[in-house]
Amino acid sequence: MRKIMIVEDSRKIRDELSIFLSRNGYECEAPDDFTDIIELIRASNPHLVLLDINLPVFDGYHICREIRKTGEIPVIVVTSRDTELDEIMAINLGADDFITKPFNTQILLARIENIMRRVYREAPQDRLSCENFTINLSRSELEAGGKHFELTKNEIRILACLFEKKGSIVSREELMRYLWDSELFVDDNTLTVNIGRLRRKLDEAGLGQVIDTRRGQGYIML
Amino acid sequence: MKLKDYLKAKLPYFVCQSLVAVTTVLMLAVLLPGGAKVFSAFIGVIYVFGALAPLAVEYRKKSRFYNELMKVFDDLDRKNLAAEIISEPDFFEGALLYNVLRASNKACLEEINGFKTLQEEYREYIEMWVHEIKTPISSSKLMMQNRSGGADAGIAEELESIENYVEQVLFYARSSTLEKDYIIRKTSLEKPVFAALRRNSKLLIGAGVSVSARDLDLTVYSDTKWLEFILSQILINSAKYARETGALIEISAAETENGCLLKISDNGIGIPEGELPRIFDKGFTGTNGRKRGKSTGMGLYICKKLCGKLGVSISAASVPDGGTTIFIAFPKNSMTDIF
Repeated sequence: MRKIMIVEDSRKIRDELSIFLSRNGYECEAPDDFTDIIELIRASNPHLVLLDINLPVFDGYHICREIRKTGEIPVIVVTSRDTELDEIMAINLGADDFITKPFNTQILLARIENIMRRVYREAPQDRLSCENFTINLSRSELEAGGKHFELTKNEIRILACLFEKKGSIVSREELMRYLWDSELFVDDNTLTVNIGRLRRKLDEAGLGQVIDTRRGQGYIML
Repeated sequence: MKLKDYLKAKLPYFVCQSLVAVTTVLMLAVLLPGGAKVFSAFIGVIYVFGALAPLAVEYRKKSRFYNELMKVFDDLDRKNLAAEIISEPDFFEGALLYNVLRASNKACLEEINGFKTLQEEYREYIEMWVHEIKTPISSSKLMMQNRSGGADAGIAEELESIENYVEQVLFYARSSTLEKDYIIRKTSLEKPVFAALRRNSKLLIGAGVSVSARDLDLTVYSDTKWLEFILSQILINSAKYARETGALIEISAAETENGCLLKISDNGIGIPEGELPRIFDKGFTGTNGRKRGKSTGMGLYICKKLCGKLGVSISAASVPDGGTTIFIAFPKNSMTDIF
């Protein structure tokens, strides 16, 4: 399991981030004492550090510089300082990415995955599989019964979103926001059309009713 | 300083001197017997010469000083600095004036610096405060995302609008300082536009707006964070004044002769013709804003100020009940790529 060190002085954010990241399959460490933070990071040697800038004892820039002196642990700076200058400074000191608070958790997750993939050369998580079918994200295809079915950008994202939340209802709004986060600015009508087409393709693939409609609530993949 | 004016100012002096000269000459002519006419005329001429010569010298000195002062004063942008530039005069009243001017200018500068410091402190405090307040907003959002249930949607929306108001304060503080605290970098228009759309996704989706963003693959030189804020304000307005059904926002860009033009059009309720020229004014809310009761009249005002600092121009066109288009024009930039 990949380990993430959260260096953040607000206890609440620390706790909530830990909960969120643990749920998404990361091991989290979130120290609350910053006097020996650099030694702590070196000793624990995490796969990635989420680093705040305004911290007691040392500021994030200093910590970032120190981390870079001895190793290649990837660093994402997560801060409420939001100017271009802060971003340039963080990147110049060797941070791998820069996210401003308040952030969107899905975007944070995507950036973390991105860096993990790049740094640890993980095969991209591009195949989502279950009993009957596999979603191939990089080829934008649905694989079922030995056949491949091409899906459009919107369709594949909708399918992936429902797959990630398998077993729970996803509202239309949630689905749209998920698509917007991937820069697909889809409106209500388009979503309806896309879901219709997606269902037809799933049907053609012989998978039957994969996506259920819950009237007034949204969609669910069972 | 013109000779005519100078002479006019000296009129009492001339009258007195002339009276004395005429009286003296007449008295000499009457009192001295025979052949004294030429002598008294001679005395008269000497007298007149003696009275005029110092005036000529004085005029030369004074006109040199005052003409320089007036010219400098006219040419100068910051009038209070005139005394710093002119050379010190070599006559008594001039020196007096010169010293007073310099002292008053110094006092004026001190006062300005005092205000500058005050403003800077205030801005720093706002900046710090905004960063502080973002922490509880972040943790509230995180908490909500971690325990997602149906009732949270409303609170999430409110949090988003709190976030926007906080952001406005920050950018207002930034827009009114004299300092330059942005960084111009080469960027594709896609970056700030997409970021602004993503940031306001909840609001726009909630308002049922269809968005089309195309032809944005153009390069401009600007501060993306500032642009993102400006675009956010425009999008928020479009969502606020959107029509009930079939709302549409179209964002596109095109190269023009002088650079690049970004267009954000909506098909919302539009702006009454008479109010259009004032929408960028501070505190202007307009009939629409008052009807919907949610306008502070600050959003577009801050946008205009930020645009001014970034060197881009912002303007608007609107058809009541037809929609509004905001234009942002980026000038061609010959600046070399620094980054």
